[in-house]
Amino acid sequence: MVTNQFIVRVLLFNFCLLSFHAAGQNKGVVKFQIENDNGYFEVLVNDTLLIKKYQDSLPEGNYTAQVWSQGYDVKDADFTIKKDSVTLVYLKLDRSTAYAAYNQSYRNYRIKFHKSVTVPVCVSLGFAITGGVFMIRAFDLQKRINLDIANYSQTPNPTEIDLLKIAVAENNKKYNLMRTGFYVSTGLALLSIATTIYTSIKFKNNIEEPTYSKLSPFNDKMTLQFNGNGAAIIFRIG
Amino acid sequence: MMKNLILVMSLIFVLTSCLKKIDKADNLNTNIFDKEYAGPCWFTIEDTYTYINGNGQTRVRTEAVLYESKMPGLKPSSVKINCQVNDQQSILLNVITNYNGDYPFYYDAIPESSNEYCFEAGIYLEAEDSIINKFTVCTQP
Repeated sequence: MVTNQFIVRVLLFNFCLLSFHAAGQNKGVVKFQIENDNGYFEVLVNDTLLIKKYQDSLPEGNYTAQVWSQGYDVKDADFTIKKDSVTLVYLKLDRSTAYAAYNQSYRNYRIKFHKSVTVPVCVSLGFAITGGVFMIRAFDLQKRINLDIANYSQTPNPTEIDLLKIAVAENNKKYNLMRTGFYVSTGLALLSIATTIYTSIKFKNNIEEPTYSKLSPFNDKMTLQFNGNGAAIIFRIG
Repeated sequence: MMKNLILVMSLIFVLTSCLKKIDKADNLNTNIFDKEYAGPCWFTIEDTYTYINGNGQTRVRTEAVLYESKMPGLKPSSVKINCQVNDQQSILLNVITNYNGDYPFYYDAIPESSNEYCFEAGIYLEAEDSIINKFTVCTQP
């Protein structure tokens, strides 16, 4: 496990830098142009030096490189470094079969997830919102009806009485419709919630999320890094 | 799990009790000024007695009251009531509220041999020139 690994860095300070400068007099530059989707790649040169950037200086000579990116197969490339010149290494990485299988199984997993969780949740939410709308409208109508009933018992005006009765009859009809809608929606929402809980638990217990290792095959290789202040050798133990 | 079930059931119970059927909406017939009034007789016979009026004639007076409690919340200062006893001539009374807020009115009938006086009263609607909610109560002096 990567988490259990220890990374030990040994910094070689300026005296090392000076020696590298001295040795770098016969160096050339290599530039990597790696075609992949994620833009990240690692290059293992001569099975010893791990490069994680698109260009680097190397002593002149012939090299064998292995290029890797997450979700792609390791691909080999040979190149030659000449003194004071730039060597361009272009590679198009091929998708790994394991990654394609992972992608397919992950897609299947997501479809099952949507069927078992997302869709029931959305349906429950839809019914709950519908029930809420019915409830709000029913309460609004109930308020209006009660107000009209109160006015009915207050007025001695026969014309006003007739108008209030018509309004109460119409609103009461709508109110009963909203009540029915509310009870049906709430019932369905509760049913959907129960279904959601059941399908979610079933999904959680029976379906496992597919995983794909993001670990580099060069993970255990030593890395030699150069920068303006010096150099570092990184290697892993464990 | 049981706790959640109780919570859900309580919620349903509360919502159900809040959005219950409004029974009053289907029975809106308690106002005496409503043409479809379906309540009890809205006036009360207080007394029926025989007396001799100022012209020396014997009359049977029936006293009735429209109590404040039978009236709608907004009480008018007067109510027009149409009265009649047996088949005698009907009269239209403009009944004014008294200090109690009640509306007392009476009818002087010509004495009849049967000695039964059926007092009929209805609310007069001036705008429609019609009498609504007629009730008859028979008494003896």
